[in-house]
Amino acid sequence: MEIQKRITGDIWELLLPGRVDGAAANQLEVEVLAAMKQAAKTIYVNLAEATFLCSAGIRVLLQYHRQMKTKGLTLLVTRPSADVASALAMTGFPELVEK
Amino acid sequence: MSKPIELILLNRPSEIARLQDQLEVFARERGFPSKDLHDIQLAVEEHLTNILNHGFTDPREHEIHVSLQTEESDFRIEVQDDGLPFNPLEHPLPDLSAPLEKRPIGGLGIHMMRKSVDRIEYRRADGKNILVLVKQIKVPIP
Repeated sequence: MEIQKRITGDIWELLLPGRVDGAAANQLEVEVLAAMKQAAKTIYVNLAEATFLCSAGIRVLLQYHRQMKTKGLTLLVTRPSADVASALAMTGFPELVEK
Repeated sequence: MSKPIELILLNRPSEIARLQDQLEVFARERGFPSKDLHDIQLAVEEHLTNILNHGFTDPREHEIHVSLQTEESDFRIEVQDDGLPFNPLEHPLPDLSAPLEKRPIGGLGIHMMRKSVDRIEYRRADGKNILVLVKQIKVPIP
């Protein structure tokens, strides 16, 4: 999966197209860690073009949402596709989505 | 009941993607609604990932036998593996009511698998885990 990045100051947006399966979840983690290392204060994971989000992907989102939050920083999902929103609701994590 | 399509996968992550591609072809040829295909693929992803991550304690190559079949309005996918005995139906459900910061991360995959299909059947036979996922397809299957 090719993850696109849009960086504006200390705000990072990661755009994930297609299937966020186990391999893509690993790639997402690498990108999130890179953003954190470069002092991102806000990371938006844009899932508008994602067709699928598995539990490995949700684990990455949850783990780094928590880590960022303890430092007063933000990691949230934005514009989830219908299938992704459904997966997040199914697992009880609608709070991971930016309001 | 249609003639099943049989696949043999190896216990490698790239094989899950290969199965997902086959599922997509199978579903599109039969006119499955996109939502039903998505749900099937999600359940399959979670189950196969669990097999690869937790099923084997040796570094050897293992075969995972998959069969795809339709029976009236049901789509059945049977997965046979020779890994450690594991019945996902006996796995405790995650507590979805706890606050986000306190929610345990484990158990989500099995929960998602259970929520994505209409029925799951499990048995252990001849040293193999045999899991059947059944999804009712909302349009007539030719």
